[in-house]
Amino acid sequence: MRGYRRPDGSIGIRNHVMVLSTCGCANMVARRIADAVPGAVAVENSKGCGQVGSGIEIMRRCLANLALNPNVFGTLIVGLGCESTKPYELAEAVRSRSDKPLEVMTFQDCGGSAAAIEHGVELARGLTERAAGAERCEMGLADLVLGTNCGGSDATSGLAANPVAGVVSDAVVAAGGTVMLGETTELIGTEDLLAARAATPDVADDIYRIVCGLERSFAEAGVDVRGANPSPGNMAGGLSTLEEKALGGISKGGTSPIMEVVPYGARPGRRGLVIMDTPGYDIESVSGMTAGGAQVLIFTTGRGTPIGNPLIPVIKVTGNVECAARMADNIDFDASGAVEGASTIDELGSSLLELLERVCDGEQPAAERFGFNDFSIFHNQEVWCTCLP
Amino acid sequence: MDKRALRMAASDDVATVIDAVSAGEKVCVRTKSGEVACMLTAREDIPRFHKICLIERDAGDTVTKYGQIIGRVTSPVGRGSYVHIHNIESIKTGVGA
Repeated sequence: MRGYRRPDGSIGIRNHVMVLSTCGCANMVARRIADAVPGAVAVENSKGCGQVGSGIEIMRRCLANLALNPNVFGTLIVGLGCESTKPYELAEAVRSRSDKPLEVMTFQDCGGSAAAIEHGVELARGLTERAAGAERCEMGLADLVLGTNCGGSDATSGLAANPVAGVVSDAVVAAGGTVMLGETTELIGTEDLLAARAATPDVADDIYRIVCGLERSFAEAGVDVRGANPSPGNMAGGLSTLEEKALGGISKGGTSPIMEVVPYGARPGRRGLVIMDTPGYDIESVSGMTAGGAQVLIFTTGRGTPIGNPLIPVIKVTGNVECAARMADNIDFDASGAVEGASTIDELGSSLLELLERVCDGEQPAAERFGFNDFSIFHNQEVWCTCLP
Repeated sequence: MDKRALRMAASDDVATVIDAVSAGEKVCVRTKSGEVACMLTAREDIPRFHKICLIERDAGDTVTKYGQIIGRVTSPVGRGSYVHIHNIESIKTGVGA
C-alpha cells in the first residue's frame, strides 16, 4: 500500500484539501469554494454556534482534530465570523499542534458571499497546488487507524458481517495498527465483559464510566435500555439476552485487549483496540471517528445504508444475502456466505482484509464513488433563544 | 443433507443453526474456519439463526457464546436442545422474555 506522509509522521490514504465550515452559517460559502476547486472537499457543519459547555468543547476538539486527520493534506477554515467556534482561535489551535498547510478566512471579514467565495477559491487553489506535490510513501496495516460502525443491523449482523469485520480488526491490531470500536449505546450490557478485556484497571474504570454514565442519562430521560433489549424483533431473530445482542455487535472490533477509552472525536494515544465514546446515530459516530484520526472505516449492516464521509472511505459489509443483492450499488462486501454456507468467517475475513488494503491503495468503495459526504458532529448541549419566557 | 450450525468460539456452549432444524435431524456444527466441531441430533425444532445446545447445562449454569457469557440457564438443557428465552436469561437484566 502507498500513502501520503504528513508532517507529524502519520500516513494518509487520501490527499484531501479540506474546506472546513466552522458553523452552519458558513456551509454554503464553504460548499461553493470546494465545488469550484478540484481536489478540495467541503466538510459542512450542522452546528458550531449557539453551543455552550461540553457541546462547544466537543465541537472545538473535533474541528481541530479533523485538520489533523492523516487523509487531510491541508485545511481552509471558513467561518462566519461571530460564531462560538471562533475561527481564528481554531486556526491557532491547529497550528500549535500541526505543521500542515492551513488557511483561515471569515465571511464577515471578506464582506459578503461573492467576495468570500472568490477569496476562498484562491486560497483553496493554493492548497491543492501544494497537495499535488505531497510525498508518497509505503505504508502497512501498522499505519492504519481503522474505524468500525454498524447500522441497520439484523439477525445476520452478529453471525456474519460483524465477526468477519472482527477478523480484519484482529489482523490490523496484530500488525501494530489501531482499531476503533464505538457506539456506546450498543455497549450497554457488555461492560463487565469489556472491562475484563481492559489492558489496565484504569481502562476498565473508563469503560464502566462511559457505559454507566450513558445508561444514567437514558434513565433520567425515562428510557429503560436494559429492559427494552433485546427487542421482540431481536428475539424473533434468535437473540435471547442483552449480552448476546451486544456481543454480536462488538465482535466487529475483534478479540484484542482494550487499550484505551477516548472521548468523542479525540485522538487515541495508544495503538491496538480502543473504544471511542460515540452515540448510536451512525453519521455522528463515523464523524467522531474521523475527527479521532481514522483513515478508513468498516461499516456493517443487515438492512443496508448508503452513508459515507467526506474525508474517509466507508466500506459497507453485509451478511444478509438479500441486502447484498437488492442494494448491490451500496454494498462493497458480501459476507452472506458465512450464513449461507458457501464460505467461512475466516475466509471472508481474509477477503475483506484484501478489500481494505485495496481501498487504502485508492480503490473507491460505493459511498466514496457516489460522493456521499455525510457529516455531523455530536452536539451535546444547545442554548435556546433567551427571549423565551 | 445434514443441517448446519455455526460455533463462534471454542469454549461456546451453544451454536447458531443456519438452517431451520426439525427434532431428530442431524446437525453439523462448524467453526469460523469451517472445520467440523461436532455432529449432534436436534431434540427439538429450532428456527433459523436460533441456538442449539452443545453441552448439557443445569439450572444456574452460565451459557457461553462468542467465548463470553451471554446468560444463565433457568431450567436444565440437554445436548441438542433449543436454547432461547424459555430456558436462559440475562445475567445483567434478569430478563429472558
